[in-house]
Amino acid sequence: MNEGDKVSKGKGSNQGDNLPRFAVVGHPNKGKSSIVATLAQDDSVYIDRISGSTRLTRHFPMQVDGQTLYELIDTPGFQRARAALAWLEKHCSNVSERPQAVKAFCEHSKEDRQYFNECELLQPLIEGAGIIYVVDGSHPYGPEYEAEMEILRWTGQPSLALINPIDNDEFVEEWEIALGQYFKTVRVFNAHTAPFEKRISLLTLFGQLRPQWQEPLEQAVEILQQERRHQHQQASQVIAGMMVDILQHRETQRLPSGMPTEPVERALQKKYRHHLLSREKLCRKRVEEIYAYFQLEREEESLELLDKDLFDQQSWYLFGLSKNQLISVAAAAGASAGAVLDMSLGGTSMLLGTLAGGLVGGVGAWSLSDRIAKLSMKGLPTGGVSLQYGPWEHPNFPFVVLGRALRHQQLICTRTHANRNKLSLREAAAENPFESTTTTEKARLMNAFKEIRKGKQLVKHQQTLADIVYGQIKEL
Amino acid sequence: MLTSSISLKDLVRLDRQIQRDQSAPLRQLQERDRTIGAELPAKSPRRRLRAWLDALAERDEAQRLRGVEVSIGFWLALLGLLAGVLAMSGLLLVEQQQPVNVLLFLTLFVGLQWALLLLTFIVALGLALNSDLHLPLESLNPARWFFRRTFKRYAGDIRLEQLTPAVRLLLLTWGQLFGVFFNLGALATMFVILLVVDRSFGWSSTLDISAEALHQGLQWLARPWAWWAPEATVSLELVQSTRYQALQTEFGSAQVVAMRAWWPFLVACITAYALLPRFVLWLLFYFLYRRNLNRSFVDYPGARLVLDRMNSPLVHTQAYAHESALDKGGDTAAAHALPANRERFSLSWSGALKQVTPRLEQMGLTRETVRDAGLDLAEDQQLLDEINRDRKDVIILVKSWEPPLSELGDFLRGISPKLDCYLLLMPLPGRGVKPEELTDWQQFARQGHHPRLTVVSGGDEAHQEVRQ
Ligand SMILES: Nc1nc2c(ncn2[C@@H]2O[C@H](COP(=O)(O)OP(=O)(O)OP(=O)(O)O)[C@@H](O)[C@H]2O)c(=O)[nH]1
Ligand SMILES: [Mg+2]
Repeated sequence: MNEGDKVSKGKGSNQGDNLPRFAVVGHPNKGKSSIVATLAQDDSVYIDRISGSTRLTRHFPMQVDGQTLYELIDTPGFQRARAALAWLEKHCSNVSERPQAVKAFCEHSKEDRQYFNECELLQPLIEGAGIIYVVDGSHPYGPEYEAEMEILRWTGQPSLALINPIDNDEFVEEWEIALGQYFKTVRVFNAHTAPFEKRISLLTLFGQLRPQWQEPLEQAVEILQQERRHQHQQASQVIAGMMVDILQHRETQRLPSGMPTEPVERALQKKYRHHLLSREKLCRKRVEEIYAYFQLEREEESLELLDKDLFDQQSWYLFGLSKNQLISVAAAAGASAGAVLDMSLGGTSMLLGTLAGGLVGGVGAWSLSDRIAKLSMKGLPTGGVSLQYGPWEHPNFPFVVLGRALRHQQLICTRTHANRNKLSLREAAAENPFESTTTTEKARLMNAFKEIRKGKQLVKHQQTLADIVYGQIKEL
Repeated sequence: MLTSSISLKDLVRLDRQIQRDQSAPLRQLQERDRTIGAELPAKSPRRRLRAWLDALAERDEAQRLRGVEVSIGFWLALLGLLAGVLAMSGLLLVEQQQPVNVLLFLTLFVGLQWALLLLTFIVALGLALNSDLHLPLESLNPARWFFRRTFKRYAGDIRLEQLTPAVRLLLLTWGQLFGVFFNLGALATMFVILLVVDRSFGWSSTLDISAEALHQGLQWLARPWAWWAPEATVSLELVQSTRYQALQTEFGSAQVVAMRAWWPFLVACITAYALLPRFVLWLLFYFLYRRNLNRSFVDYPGARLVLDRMNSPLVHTQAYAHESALDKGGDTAAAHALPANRERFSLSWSGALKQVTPRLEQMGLTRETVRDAGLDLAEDQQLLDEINRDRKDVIILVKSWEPPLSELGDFLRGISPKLDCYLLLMPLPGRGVKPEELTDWQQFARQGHHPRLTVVSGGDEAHQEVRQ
């Protein structure tokens, strides 16, 4: 059965009342919106430390080509649970009429501002949504939760409880016992750090609330997994595209003979840097968009950092390769790598010395050039000179650019949409992005970089880069 | 087949569209491309991409680009023809006193062209081997100049040339086209001139070449066609009889007649050694160019992303309506303290005291003095009655980590406005009251549940003051 069939089959059975819907409910400020934001990959959800940040019910449909497979519903927290329960108890004596009583309560309180929150959150349940009850596992259970859980039980909807360990998991066990009395299924789910697999298995669990929801949720899960691979692929294409652009880039300027070249050199250098930075920024933004981050704030100084990083020798090894690695990769890249090294070494004799030095364990022989690119000058037949800044010279430069892109991508795709912290590349710099890349692969990269620099077979090498990048990120 | 064949114009359009899309919001692109992709019956990536372009790129742009490729070819052909005409008439007409030197003729129309063919060969080889040795040679191609000039107007900066070998192959194709028309022009001119003017051919050289040696060489040249067109070969007698000296202007009539017999051989030489190779190469390069173009189209950087967006379902999980941002809470006001040595009515809300028992003594409170509230609605009402009767200050111990609820607000509203009310935030042991918790509660206090309501943080300083 192909995908089109599946979707259209789902269409018939999922519309209207049969559409699986899940209302995330609970006490205020316990991470309801965070859970919805993470599962719906929506970074526009208003999440705040101050309670009562969600005032109205919001719907988050999961749609494939416009067709809804399920819907998540974010709700405001309970405010007058005890009073609401008292009303319900007063108006219903028969257990079998409890769901009716809840409905009557909402109708009765429509005009009444007092029960606004309760009505907002109960309305989806009356309409058949499953209950996802959220509590905070870092703070203790208290009697104020009882009335809430009782009201939820009155609705007669299938339910499960999630313990969100906001600050730590100190009270998770206590909660498991307390919740176990009201809910068949209790799970711990960290709204801010849950990895993709965890989110997926949670959705699968949602599907088990009702037998007829199982199939659409499984289908949705499959599509989400597909979409995830698809996102990785797109990200690798975008990163490879940026690499090709940056690695080829050069700035040129004609100058009449006799004019001083120094100011022009500085201007060219500035233009060159500017291009690199703006190209990098564009790539970052695209990668963020691919993973559905639209409002991400980057660390305030990160732009500056970016500037520094790319041009600051000290931090080169944070993202790129170490000298030793460069030497061994160059050796593995074969004879053709000589040229890459020559660029920074200025001579084969020195290269030999370096390799020999590398082999006996000393790296001193290799002093890297201190510039990314350098200026070259060419006399023109028409008189005057042509100045050219770039392309890159330093063999580590492409590794640094790629390493930074990989780090950024990794941060983005392991993040959740509930996280409102600023993104900081620097922060996660513990592990080198090429830690798990094999030397053969690095050598392939090095050769591709070199070829791209010469403008040769760009299409082919861009694909090589994209494949290697995809290989790196597909496991995330 | 015809509809799916790609032309350079499509590549230019593709390049431009991809450039344009680079800074557009991704979500918009996804929706747009999926809408186009979902409706297309075509299966092959090339057709899909072409249809996508047709759906997107502006009409007049396509119109403008349509003729460019053809017109460059046309102009190059015309230029070649003109060059051929000029070269041939120059050689045949400039010096009328003497016969045309066959050696010079062959050098110009065969030798020189073979040298150019050799360069073409090197360029093609370089292209095939991906070396850049041929790059300086490439700039000799007149087609390149044409291409740059014309396409610059249509395609801005020429990224294409760098990105795809197809363009280089096209330049080679055009170079051959130029050559073919050059030779056609030369041949046509030769016929016309021979028809209207009496031109004779001979040979002359500063070097001491014997007629026999030359004859041998020429016979070798004529070998390919000697067996079926013997009239286009030269005999030894002809070679011997048509030798002339520099500055010689008088020729015997027999010699003049003989001198007219050269032309079939010369025509055959141009046709076989210049026109034919050019034509064959033109066909070859054109074929390679088309093949490469078709491949480059789908492989073009960025094209994969487009196809991807067209082919994969549009997954959307976010909310549609935008949430109106709430007015954020103000800054945390300075922490207040509890009044010391005053009689008061102490309440523990929702069992706040249970979790903070160890601190109780420290705060000058004992379990007996603190009453439970916030558990049962009826009990709460009784408490309110008591409070309003006793007319003492009210201190409510609340869990700092739990958000303030309207329920508590209702309770506060029941307290007489003449009494002072304090909300004492009790943190979990060892955790302290967090600033955002304090802000949350202070914001709650400002909501007007009670006119004389003060929030007190149950941090250590507050405890001290209680004891004084
Ligand atoms: N560190 C951490 N913080 C969390 C987590 N879940 C929620 N929070 C924080 O808890 C606060 C409340 O989260 P929300 O998602 O707004 O909670 P809510 O239940 O929707 O709150 P209301 O809409 O006000 O009822 C925010 O400051 C979140 O950053 C978590 O898993 N880890
Ligand atoms: Mg919320």
